Amino acid sequence: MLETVLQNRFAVTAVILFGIGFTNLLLQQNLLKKVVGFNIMDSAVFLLLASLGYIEGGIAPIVGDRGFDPLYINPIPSGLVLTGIVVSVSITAFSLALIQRIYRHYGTIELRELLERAKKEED
Amino acid sequence: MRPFVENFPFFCIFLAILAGVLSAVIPKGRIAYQMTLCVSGIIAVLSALVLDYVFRNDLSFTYTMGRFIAPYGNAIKCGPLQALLAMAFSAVVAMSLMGGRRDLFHDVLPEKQRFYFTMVNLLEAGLLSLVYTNDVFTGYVFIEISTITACALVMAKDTGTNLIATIRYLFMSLLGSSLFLVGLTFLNSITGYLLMPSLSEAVQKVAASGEYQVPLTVAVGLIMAGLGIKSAMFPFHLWLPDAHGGATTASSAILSGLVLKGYIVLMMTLMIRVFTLDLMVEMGVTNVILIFGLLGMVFGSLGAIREYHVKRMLAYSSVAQIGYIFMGLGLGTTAGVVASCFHILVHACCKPLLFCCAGRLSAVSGHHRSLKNLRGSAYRDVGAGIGFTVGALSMIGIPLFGGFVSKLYFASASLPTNQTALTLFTIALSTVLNALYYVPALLAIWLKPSAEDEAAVLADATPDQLSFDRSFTTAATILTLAIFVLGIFYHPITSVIEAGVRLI
Amino acid sequence: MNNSSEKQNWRKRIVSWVDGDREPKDQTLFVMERRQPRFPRPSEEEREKREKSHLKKFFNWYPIAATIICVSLIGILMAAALSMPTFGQADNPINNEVSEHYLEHGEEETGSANAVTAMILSYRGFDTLGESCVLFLAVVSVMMLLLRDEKNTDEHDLQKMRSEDIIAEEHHDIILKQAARFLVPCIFLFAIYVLLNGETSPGGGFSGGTILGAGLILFSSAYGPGNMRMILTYETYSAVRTFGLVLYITLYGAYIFIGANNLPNYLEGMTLLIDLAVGLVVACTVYGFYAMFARGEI
Repeated sequence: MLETVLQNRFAVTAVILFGIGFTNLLLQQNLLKKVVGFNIMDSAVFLLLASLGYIEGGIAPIVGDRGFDPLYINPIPSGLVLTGIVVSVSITAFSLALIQRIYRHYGTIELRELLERAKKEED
Repeated sequence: MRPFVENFPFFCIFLAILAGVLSAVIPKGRIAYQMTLCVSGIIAVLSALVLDYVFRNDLSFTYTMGRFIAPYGNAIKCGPLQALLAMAFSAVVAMSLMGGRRDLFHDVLPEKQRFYFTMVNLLEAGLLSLVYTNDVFTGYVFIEISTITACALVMAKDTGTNLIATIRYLFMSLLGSSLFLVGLTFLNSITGYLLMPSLSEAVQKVAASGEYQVPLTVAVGLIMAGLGIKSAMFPFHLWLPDAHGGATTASSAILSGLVLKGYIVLMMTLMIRVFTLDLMVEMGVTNVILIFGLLGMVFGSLGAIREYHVKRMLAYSSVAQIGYIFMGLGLGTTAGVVASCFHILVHACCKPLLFCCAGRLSAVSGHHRSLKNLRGSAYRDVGAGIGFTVGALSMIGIPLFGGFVSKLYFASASLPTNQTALTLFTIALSTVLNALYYVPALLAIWLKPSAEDEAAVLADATPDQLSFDRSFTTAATILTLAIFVLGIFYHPITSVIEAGVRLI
Repeated sequence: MNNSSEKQNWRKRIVSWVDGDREPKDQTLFVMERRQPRFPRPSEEEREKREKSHLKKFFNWYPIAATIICVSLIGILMAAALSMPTFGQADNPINNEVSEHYLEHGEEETGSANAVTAMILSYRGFDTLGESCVLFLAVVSVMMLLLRDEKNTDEHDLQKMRSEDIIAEEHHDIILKQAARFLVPCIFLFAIYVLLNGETSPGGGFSGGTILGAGLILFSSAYGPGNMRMILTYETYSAVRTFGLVLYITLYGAYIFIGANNLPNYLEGMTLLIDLAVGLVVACTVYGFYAMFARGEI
């Protein structure tokens, strides 16, 4: 058991991080903290992805004149992580802008209060 | 050299993206609106040509995005089902925009209207890509595009409640797409592929060898859960009524009618093309989907019965209709999938029609939304009244309307399975429940209120809201006709869908 | 006589049912009975109390349900993580012929020695196009929210912003300005270097664009929005952004069209141009975020 944990240490760390982020996203009442939780969650996924491509003793996959002799790491997960990061940045910016507008409108970013206020407004 | 018509799916996607980018610099909202309509029309025509080609030759083709063949480069795949859905989706986008045109220019600030059309165009591109994609990671990227654009459509109205609804929608969607991405990561780690055909082979190999059984199960579960959350599968539907009910008419129509379907189509493609239905049944995924679908059918309707705000009622009704689609997928047979596809088409016509008519009816009642204030509004715009009636009757499942045919297909698909009794009972129950909220709504709009009530409501309506709305009437007429076509001449359409599911 | 009053009664009942005012007595409509009677309208306070108790109920069970979901999800993920292929082994399923192909033939097929660049710009370029669209969408949606208009700005905000500008103009921040004078050109140079060398070294459009954007942000915060507007107005900003993305889309569209139809390859040095286009889009995005959040205008 312990050996498996040590062998897959990056996956295990990623799962723990993902759990932290997920719990934050679900349980925090503060919108800003929810965004932080989401970011932690995404970082966990990127850690998992990046660790998938690593090969022990491998170097960065820039081939150039070095030919195919040295062992390169797998380039695919790196590319996917790049895409994932860009998406995550965009969504973070969008949600922060939304939160800023909500704060200007209501003066609070606690979800509970916001829901109460929204219900009142609707009637 | 491939036939030129095979380039059309790729043209459609790129045209929509290009139109989206260009609308952000068009200074006038009206020009952007016309451009969006044109682009949607062109896409619908191109997709129709593709549909004609693939259906006549009974084939589906893979189109490599670049020079590199699978599994090295991106690819899209097009068969009859994909072409049909692309055609329907782009046509419905145009219809929704036309139907909600007046509300749209009323609700969105003039200097932000072009951004709204950027979102619509890119949403269309996202939906097309979700339909056509043959690569799971492309699926993820376009899921995110759909998420951002859908949230932007909700918040375009820019009132306080809208913003709160948007942020709830956004967080829920993020949860969904993160789960999808984690699932994808696990799947990639045990198979090593991202393109669907090679992925499918690898998944079958893994499933047969039994070596990575746990990660495979978890990956499938996460992917399905992620897509389920995004398409408002029953226990995850809480965000939907606020988001869809509060947005401007055109947004509600597009979101309810199309965006939810985009994710379902991707889910269906994954279930059939990658995991195969047999494996899904073996793993028990279909049963879970079936149960959630059935629950959604009942609880969505119960939620709608309790609403008196007409748009929120329609939004809850979407939860129920999504339940129908999941039920069809959950049956785990080809017939069930065909019924689901047909229902996707029916709902994609009905719900935008209902939302546009509801928007129009509330516009002629001084933007009041509760059913009580809509009394007699059908007489103020007869077209909207008739459209609402047709949509509602189709939702209930009256013969000659589209909804009846899909219920028929669901029922007959459930016969050879083990859950016949449960499924049939739930369909019957859900039909009764549908009637229980649509009939009062219909009575409400067609019964004349007392003169003083009417005067009180009309005091809030301005003359130009009451004037004849040409673009709305055109859209409503076309969607109404579409419902009749689906309800009467359904046989050619189902044969296209059957061919599509076979060739998926 | 009796009959007609009965009729009247029925009519009334149906009307009230349609309005959702009163519960119908009819047993077939049992579900409707669960609807709250809305007439006589409950007083404001009562309504509020009811809504509050609804919310309270929601917030009472929500944490419990959420905790259960979190714990079970972590458990499931942990089980999957422990039975995943062992970390760092060359014979894991993910290291298959696809990655080998990228490493072996990447340079001859796409002209870039960096396998990651080759992958994101050529092999899986459609994903990257989607990614650029996500960036573009993020800026547009942030603009939809924060670009100043009558709904999100009032006179008070404008007043505050003006007074801040005056303070910034009066108090010269010498350290920042002198540092920026040295740093901004260096940053721009470095950005261009990274942009142009994406094919042979770590870097490329995304990294280079971000550095370029950072340079713009430093310039803007050191010399103020007035000076920034001399080199970058809103019109130039959106023109550059649109130009970058349209260039990317048309180039890549042509690339796909040529590739899919097996036409001879006319676009030899395309990777570099695409990298530049991506760089422009990313730089505009990064600076756009900063400007929108800081002032609500470019």
